Amino acid sequence: MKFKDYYTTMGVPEDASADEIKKAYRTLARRYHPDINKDQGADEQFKELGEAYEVLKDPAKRAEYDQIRKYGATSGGDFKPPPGWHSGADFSGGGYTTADPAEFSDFFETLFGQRAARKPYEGPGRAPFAIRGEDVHYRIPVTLEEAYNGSTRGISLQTHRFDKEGRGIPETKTLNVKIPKGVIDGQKIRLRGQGGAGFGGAPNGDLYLEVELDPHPRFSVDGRDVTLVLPVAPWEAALGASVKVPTLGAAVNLTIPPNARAGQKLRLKGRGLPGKANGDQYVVLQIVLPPVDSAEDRSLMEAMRQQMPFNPRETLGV
Amino acid sequence: MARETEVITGEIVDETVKYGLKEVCEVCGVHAEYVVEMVEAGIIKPKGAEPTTWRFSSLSIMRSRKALRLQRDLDINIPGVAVTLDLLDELESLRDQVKSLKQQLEKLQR
Repeated sequence: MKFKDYYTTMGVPEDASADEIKKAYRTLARRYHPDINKDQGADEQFKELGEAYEVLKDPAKRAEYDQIRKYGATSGGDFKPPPGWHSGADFSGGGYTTADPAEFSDFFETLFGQRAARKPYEGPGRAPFAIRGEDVHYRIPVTLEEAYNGSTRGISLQTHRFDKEGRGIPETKTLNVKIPKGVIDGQKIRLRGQGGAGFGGAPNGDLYLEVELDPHPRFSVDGRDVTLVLPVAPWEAALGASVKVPTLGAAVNLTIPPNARAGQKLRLKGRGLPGKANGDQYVVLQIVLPPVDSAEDRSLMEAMRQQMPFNPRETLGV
Repeated sequence: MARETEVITGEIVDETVKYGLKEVCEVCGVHAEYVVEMVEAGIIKPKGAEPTTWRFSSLSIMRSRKALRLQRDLDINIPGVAVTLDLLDELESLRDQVKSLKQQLEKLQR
């Protein structure tokens, strides 16, 4: 078992006052709270912080921990509790709950026992030992095609259940989840009762899946609307044309008006992601020059130059 | 340990209202007074004129749970939670916009 240096976790010196510890906790809790910090690893850091604070905020626990720490040699090294170690202090569990105590480390449990880990769950206005499970949040990558057509996805997640003694036992849950047609980026899907296990007969928490739309090679997406950059030939833009345009479904014909400009946006109504009101597809025109290779090509361009006096830099004043 | 093979259909978290006060209390594990406080602070906005006829959306349920976590873990009061949630919403919508604009820009520069 690895030794955990709770002082390092909280970034406080070992002679820090109770006030300094509280301050450090609040600052770090704000920074790493999973509802605030979406970075990967923030979740883990928040849990570690909760565990460290659970010990250091309590004078009796802290005294015991300090003793162990002296014995326990180097931080990060291999750690075994002293022979015959038994925690004497009772867990106060006062104040607010920090992290999910079912996920406190083995290190914590070896020192302070399982009951200590569970205790912070108790709070005012709650019946002891009957607590609804935690909500579990997961991000699932979804392709634009899946969002358009709907799909079924297998996901596996780490969660825990409780045994008769109230110990949290980690378990891997595998679920087949329907991704409904027309989900959009950032949308959450709530799966009732599929979150963390409830304790003492209380219901399970919910599982929230947050849709994370994969970037698409062709379409960019904004809510239900999609945008496609459409290359057109100079004569299609100049004279107008009817051209084939890919959509999320089948390709459609789009009429390009004469004298169309590069960057001009055309709308294909209702061709975005499906929903109560379908999204639209926007087409942004990009004028692409054909390669000018032969003498004939060059003479055509030359003829244009002669016949169409045109300064594309007029707005720049040059 | 693949035990479940049936396909589970979730509920899209959105503004559609379908839950009463009782269900919100159950899901959040709080008393009705607490939900009333959250409504008064504008954290969640039910349809209906009074508590007995209030109807909440799944978005409200998710928001209430989030509010509770923030309050519990960071020791902030209800008005503080309300401000935090508003700012988090704004941050999220700005991030979405940046993401979408970046995507468009990339495609135009190709």
